[in-house]
Amino acid sequence: MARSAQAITIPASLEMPSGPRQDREHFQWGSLLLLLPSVLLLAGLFLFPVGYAFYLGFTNLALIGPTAQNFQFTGAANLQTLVHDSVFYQSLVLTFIFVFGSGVVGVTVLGLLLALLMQHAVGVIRAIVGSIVIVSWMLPPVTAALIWYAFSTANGTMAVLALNPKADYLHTAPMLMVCLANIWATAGFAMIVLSAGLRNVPAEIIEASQVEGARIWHRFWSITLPIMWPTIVTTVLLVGLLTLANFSLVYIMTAGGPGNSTNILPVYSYQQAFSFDHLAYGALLGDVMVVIATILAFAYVRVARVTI
Amino acid sequence: MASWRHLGVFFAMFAALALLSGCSLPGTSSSSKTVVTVAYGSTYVFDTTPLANKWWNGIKTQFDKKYSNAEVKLVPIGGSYTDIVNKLSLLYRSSSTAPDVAQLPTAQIGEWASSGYLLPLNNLVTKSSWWSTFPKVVQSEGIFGGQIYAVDTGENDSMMYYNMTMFRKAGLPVPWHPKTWQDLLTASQKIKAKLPGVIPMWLNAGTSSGTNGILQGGGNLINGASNPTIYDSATKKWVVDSPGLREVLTFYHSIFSQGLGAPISDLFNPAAVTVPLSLFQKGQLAIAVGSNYYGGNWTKTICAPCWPQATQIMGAVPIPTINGQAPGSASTLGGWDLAIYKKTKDQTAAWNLLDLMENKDNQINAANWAGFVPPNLAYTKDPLFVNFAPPYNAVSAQVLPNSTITPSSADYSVWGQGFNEATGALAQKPSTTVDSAIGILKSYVTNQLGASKVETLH
Amino acid sequence: MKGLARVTSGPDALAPEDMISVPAPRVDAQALVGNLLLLGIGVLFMLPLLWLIFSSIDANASWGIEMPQITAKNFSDVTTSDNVTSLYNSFYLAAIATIVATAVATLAGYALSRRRIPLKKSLMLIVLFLTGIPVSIMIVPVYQMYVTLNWLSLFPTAVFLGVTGLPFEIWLIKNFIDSVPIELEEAARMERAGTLQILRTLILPLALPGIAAAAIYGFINAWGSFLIPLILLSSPGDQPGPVTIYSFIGAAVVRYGDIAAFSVLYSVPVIVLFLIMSRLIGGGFLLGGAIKG
Repeated sequence: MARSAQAITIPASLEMPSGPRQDREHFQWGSLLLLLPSVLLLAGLFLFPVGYAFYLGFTNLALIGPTAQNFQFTGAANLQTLVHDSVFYQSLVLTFIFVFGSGVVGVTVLGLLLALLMQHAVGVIRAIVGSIVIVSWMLPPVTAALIWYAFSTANGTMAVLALNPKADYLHTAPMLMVCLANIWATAGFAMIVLSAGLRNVPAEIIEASQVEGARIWHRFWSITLPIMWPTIVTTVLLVGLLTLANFSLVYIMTAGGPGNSTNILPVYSYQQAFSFDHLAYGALLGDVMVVIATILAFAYVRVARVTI
Repeated sequence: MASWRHLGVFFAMFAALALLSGCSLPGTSSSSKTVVTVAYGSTYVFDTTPLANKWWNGIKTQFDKKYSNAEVKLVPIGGSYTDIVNKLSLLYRSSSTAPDVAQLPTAQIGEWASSGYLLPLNNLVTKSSWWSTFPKVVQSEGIFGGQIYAVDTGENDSMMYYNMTMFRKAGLPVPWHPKTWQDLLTASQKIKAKLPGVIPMWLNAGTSSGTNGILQGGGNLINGASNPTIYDSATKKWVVDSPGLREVLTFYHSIFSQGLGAPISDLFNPAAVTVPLSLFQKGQLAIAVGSNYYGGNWTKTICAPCWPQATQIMGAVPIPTINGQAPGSASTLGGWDLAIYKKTKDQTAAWNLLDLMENKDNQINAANWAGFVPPNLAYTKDPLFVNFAPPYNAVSAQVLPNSTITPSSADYSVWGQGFNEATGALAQKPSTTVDSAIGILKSYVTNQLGASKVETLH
Repeated sequence: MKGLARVTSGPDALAPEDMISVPAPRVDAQALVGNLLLLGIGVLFMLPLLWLIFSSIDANASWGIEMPQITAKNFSDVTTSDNVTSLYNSFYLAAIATIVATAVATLAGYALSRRRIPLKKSLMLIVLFLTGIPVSIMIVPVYQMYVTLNWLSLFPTAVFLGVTGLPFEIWLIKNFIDSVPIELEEAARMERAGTLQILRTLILPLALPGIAAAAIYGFINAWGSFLIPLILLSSPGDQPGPVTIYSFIGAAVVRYGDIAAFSVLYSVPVIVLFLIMSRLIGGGFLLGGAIKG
């Protein structure tokens, strides 16, 4: 059993047919039984709270105060506030930078570079570097945030190595620092996923091109990248979603500051709900994130042209 | 080698371990006694978590011993200030989880009361031995709409700390008695001229500490300005521009544009309010507008950082008003209050617990272990308190009656965010003018709360 | 570290591109540059971790990086019985969360991969975008619900933590089962094997790396969680590790050495778990094959 598992599991290569293969079969009631536990848990503990939070975004619920218990539906009142909220627009832009700049581009490119380098690296180097990168991904968010706070502030490792111990990169280039922190904390995930994808690039093709003397860059551009493309698109989506939900990292590092310079949507939503007691408005900002996540998911289906 | 059976065994072990560790947790004790629940910040309020545990476990032991028909159930809340408020607000949402007694931050007692959560205590406190010894300002903290909803259990006020050795070196008088803000500025300038490399003045700025940064920083200046109003209770509007606010921001501007303030890496630190304690200890800071707990932190009991020699080096005086106007000194006031749940099953038991916490030993221990000044004027003069951190605790007791509470209204934290953004801009970009700082405050609060909630005083 | 080396170099019959299993690469300039570049990236990734390691053994730890004044006191300070209990609690929460979520995600992943299900596309999309939602917006609804159901205790909290990782787990496992050839399953069906039997004897072993990857994600997700346990748990003995980290950050006192020491301790179990899982599963990066084109 174990042996066949090995033999069959590894080659998830592209030549093999993939995707659902029993669509020719009729719908079976038994399928529902398999889905039931997940559906119940997701509906009860995920869809219901999210749906309720969506509703709360259109009420005047407060954390404390007269409307903490006796809140009511206020229609579009919070939307009115949202439309005129300049911090929200700033937050939207910052969220875009964070998710795309740091998550989609930064994490994916670095993850791909790591995966490619890993492929041809000496075993020892690969093991050591792989461990460090994976440990960075696995650390609890609280720890990762504190580490990066210490790393990027005055007298931190970054400033000391730049021979300018008083330099405070966290507060002079805050957005860059939280983006780098996110890249550091997420690249391990992208590396693992993309390494798996790289295994699907047939060795014969690479070898053939090597014989023809194709340049490394050309080889990457014309062979590896096209074959890897679906995996890269998937990675982009997963990393994008992970980054979008990455609240603790930024909240602990900067709490959205200085000023509002790193106030990405999840942080701003939390600030409104729990620092300013505007629970309903915080929920509405969360609603905006649900919409963004939905757009991301649908855009993915379009771009990736995958059947799911 | 990759047998999934091994994984199965591993999972089973994993599950068994998990269940075991779950089972080994203490179950709830069942008894016929009245259970009085008390919720409090367990990691944030006291100086260290072991001291917090010591104090609260002590309360439970004393209460359970004294009242045989009732027992205390502790509901500690971990995390920081926001987490405590967040959790308390959730606990109060259901009568099954609402704590009979809760320790609430003083800043928003009015909000808690207007939520309908708190029991008016008027009849109970007037019978107590201690209420009448509280200064008026401390009593007023828990009063909302004429009703007493909460009683204080420890305050923070503020003072000026200064390094006497540095003052002597710079040719400044020791002991120092600043009478006006100009005196603060002059001293800072002298330090800068005579002691290069030393940060002359610590004054909190920026958003990282929220309203706590105002309590331990700019709020003290606002209270000593010619017009200290933040919230206009007559019009129910937030003041975003006034001569008083301009005086305060002008002082910030002077400090930071002349390079007399601390660097932003320290000011924007999430733990900024604790940074001056280390800077003083390392001999890198000369003067600070700071909270009353510094002295206690330097003692061997708290050790954060350890600096028992501080008493020989560090002086403390009340913070002057801008032009020395009466009463001559100003301070903010904020701390933690005790309140009883409106629908508590046993008012007497809840009150007995509250009363026990207000007794002398418990109040003095709380003050020493959490860096408070006790609300009870008699206790502030007790040697156990005064000699815990001399001479600082005596100064904090002296400051207490002249201090001013922060607004108890909703949205104070929004106003605070605007104010902190303004001071943060002045600290980060010394070229920021007072006008543009006022602009930051005004546009932020207006954007958040709407033009109908803000006003300019002339 | 040995375990991780194995992860990348396990026996792997059908993967000749794995450089370990072929003769040592020619030492040419390209390979040298590649190795050096990789090493450089590794060093960059290591730099932020230095503060954690140094501060955990430094008697005078601060935010800054400095030569530690070596002490074991931070570690002895943070291993009080309360703090050790919080590690147990974290373990309990994360283990239950992982087991519940991985079990139900495997069933769902199988159905979504193999069966004809109406509205499957929409279902998968819903599952996907749920992944991007921050849990902070669900605090109030979940609390209300848990109070009503009288669920404010460790087990239901663990289940909720599991559910927050469930969408991602279903997605990973479904994709992995997609890459398991259907032919074996059809043969088993000829022999009249039932669905559960097929799942147990065929799908589980073959999709194991994917399921393990999903489980690790679920574990990390629950292990690092701070807000949800803080909100849903009220007994003094129930709080998990991240809440303990906050006990070193008070209003007036921050204990940097304790934060670092406890963080080191708190990170160890996750890493150990990863190493054990890698060893059990054997060759290939854990997520190998989890992604389809």
